Amino acid sequence: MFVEQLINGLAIGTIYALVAVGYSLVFGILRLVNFTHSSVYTLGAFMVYVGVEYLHLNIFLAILFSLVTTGFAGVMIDKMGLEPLRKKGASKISAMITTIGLSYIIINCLNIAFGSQIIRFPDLFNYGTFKLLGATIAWQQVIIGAVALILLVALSIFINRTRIGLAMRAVQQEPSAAAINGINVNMIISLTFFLGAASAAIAGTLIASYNQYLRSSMGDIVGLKAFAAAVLGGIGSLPGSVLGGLIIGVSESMAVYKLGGSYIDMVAFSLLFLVLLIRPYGILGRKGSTKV
Amino acid sequence: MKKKLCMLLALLLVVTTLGACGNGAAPASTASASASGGNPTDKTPIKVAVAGPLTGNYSEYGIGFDAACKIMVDKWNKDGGINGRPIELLSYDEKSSTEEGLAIAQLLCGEDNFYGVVGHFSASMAVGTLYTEERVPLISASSSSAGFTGQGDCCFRLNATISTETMGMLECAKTAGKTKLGVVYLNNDWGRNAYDNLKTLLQEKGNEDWEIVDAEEIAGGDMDYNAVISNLNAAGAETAIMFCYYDSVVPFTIKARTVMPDLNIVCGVNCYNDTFLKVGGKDVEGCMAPSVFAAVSDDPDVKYFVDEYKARTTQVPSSLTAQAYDAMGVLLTAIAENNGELDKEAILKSIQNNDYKGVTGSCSFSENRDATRNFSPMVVSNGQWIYY
Amino acid sequence: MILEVKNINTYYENIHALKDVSLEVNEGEIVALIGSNGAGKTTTLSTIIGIKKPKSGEIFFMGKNITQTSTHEIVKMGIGLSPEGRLVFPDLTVEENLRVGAYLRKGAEIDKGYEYVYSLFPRLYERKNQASGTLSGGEQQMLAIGRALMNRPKLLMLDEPSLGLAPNLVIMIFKLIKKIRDMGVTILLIEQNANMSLHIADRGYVLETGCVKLADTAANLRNNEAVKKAYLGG
Repeated sequence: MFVEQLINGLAIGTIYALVAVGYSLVFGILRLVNFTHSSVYTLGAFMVYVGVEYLHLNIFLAILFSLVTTGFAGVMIDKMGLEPLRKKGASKISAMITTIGLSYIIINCLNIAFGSQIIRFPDLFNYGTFKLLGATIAWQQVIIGAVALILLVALSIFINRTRIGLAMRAVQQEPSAAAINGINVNMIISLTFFLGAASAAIAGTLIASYNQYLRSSMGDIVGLKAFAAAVLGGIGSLPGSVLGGLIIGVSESMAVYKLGGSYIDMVAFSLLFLVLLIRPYGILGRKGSTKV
Repeated sequence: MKKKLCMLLALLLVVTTLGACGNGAAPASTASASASGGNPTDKTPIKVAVAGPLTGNYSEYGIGFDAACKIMVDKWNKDGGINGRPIELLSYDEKSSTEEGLAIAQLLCGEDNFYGVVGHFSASMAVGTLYTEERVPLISASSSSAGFTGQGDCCFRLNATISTETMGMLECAKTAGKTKLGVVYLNNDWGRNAYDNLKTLLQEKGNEDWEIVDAEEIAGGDMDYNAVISNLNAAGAETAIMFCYYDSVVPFTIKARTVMPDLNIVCGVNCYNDTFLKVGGKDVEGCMAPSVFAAVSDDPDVKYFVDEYKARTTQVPSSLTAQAYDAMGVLLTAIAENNGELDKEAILKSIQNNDYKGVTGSCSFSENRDATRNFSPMVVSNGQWIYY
Repeated sequence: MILEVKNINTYYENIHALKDVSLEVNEGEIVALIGSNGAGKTTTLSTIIGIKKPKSGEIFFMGKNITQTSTHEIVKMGIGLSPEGRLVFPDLTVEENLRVGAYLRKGAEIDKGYEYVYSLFPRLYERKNQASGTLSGGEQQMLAIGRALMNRPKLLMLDEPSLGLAPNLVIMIFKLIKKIRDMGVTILLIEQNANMSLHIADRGYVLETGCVKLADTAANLRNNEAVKKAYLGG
């Protein structure tokens, strides 16, 4: 039972982590909480659905289609909604409100196009179950956990080991110094939005496939929890986001195990509250460089 | 900055309210009120309303109510309306929100020539008192909370009470021969009431036929159901009794099929609908539910309704939708019965004493305005609900 | 002439920070910009490198008009800046900081860059795997200069390189600046320490409240009574 619940928690936790990373990336670079992220996550899953259902692509092409369109949507959010504000020197709160507004616009468009009801989504990895230490575990969970983990590792390698990743870190730490070293800061910001949106799209697709359905409201609660995970782990810190996601995922399934299912939505935020009391910058967040 | 925020909020409020009005069919031109209804040359429309969630998580239900009531009103209008006066259906979107529902009720109570409401969903327990104060008949097609009709003598319920429905669900479990129950219930009033009610029922019956081996309270919606299923599995549940809406039942069922392929899933009457079948696909095959309505029936009234509904929405009407259809039938019959005397008290009396026979069977009400409903166990087979 | 600034006017919202500023830098020179706080020295450098765009006026670098060119393009053309306050990337190691400096360079050029910078600043080599936020002020200053050199600029602009450093380090930094110039890099230097900068510079400009007040050889400026009084401590 414990093992089962642990696996349940880790599987959902890696998804939270993947979404949380998107919040962290954008926050790191703009010091801005990007509230469009949960709607971009939803958009990503819908784009796969569009690829399969309307464009008759096979599932891998559909995922690729979603990555590109959703990533591009992320870039457009910045170019159309946020960059003009930055150029005019608008306050952070205006930018934040803008992201909340844009988020509603995206979800409303999805509602108009697809309705607000549940839509069936293809199950990409249903390979039955297996037994481990007496627990019944669905392959599905292992696979989505693994896919999310591989992506997180790839993302981390990209950021820590490549030239562009170095430029992203440079822009995060000192945007003006990055510019005078020849880094095209606007390009890096766009790239960050692209990466954040694309990882959200994958997370959305994984969850839609895991649940085997999607709907326009699917990002509401996941978005909030992933945001909590990002803050819990220390927003702006990539390992922090992953840790935060896993902690929230596992504590949720443990809460269901020990306390009952109705506590599930409370756990994330109670944990966040407690951790922030002790460590205001999150578990792996550092004072100064990463403050909300 | 605070000022800006306030203005933004105000703007949002205005937009939402406008949206709500936009969804309504209230024409301003018919404001010329005429209290005397007996005049045969009077062509002022008689207004009735349907309110339900047309958007949001529960939109499935509201869209069904809306379409069903339109079919009923169109049928009446085709036959010449009531005393030569056309019937006008006002349709409102409750947006799956209690606050929105209350706002709609307030709007409706201000209407002229207005004689009754079918529906409400999220706000059922909030609007009853208001309608009763204004003497507006409210017939719910979906409420099963014990206290609904207790809100006032204008609140009628065409849905089964929670006890009747629960008994129907228990019979489903018994028919399938799987009586070790794992109860999954929503953490709202309705879900908790349903679970308490089930416990009481079993105590009355002496716990002989059924046994509750596990009970799981859930938050519902887009949560990860695996943790709940692991608990049910460990407790050895044979039948899952689902006191939740189809938007939780479907994801639950999909997940359960992987880990607990033999689990018998019994849901409430709210799952007797097309979306449940369409979204659930092969996974909801074998799911059971008690129902008062069977779309597969040969009855001509049922056939008319099902065909008309299919033509308009390309879907098969759900059980609750069929109840909304009958509720509108009861309301219009009661308005017509009084020979054009549009007296609200008389209409209420006619509703109370109706002997209407609809697509869901007899619609008569008990003294405390609850309908007596007869359930049959239904099961999903080859993508449709059939008799078990 | 490697750099020519012609009558630029730069604003911060409503503040007229640079008023018709013109200056020239010839290849191989060290040119000093002196002036008190708020005179517009840093704004001049920001405008040259494209972080601030002037409202009017023109800037030419090696004959090309760069007035409206974006910063990263200007850097690509060969202007480097060691900014005021150093602005090293605190969470990156010393070597990563230098790598960012060589962002526009490829392969062997980067290794050559490391060699070049480490030979100028052996101290940085010793600290190459250390997070630069943990370096001392002097080391951070070396890093900021080294980072700007990684791109092999033709024109290096230094903004207050001696600010906040101990006297022995100040002398070391000025020696290095001369050394860099001798290796073929033209230098535009901002200093509050006008005395030192006019000693190593060939020419100098005096900025006051956004205007160029004086332009002359460094030797003449050193002997100018007004300059002596205002900037050289009498």
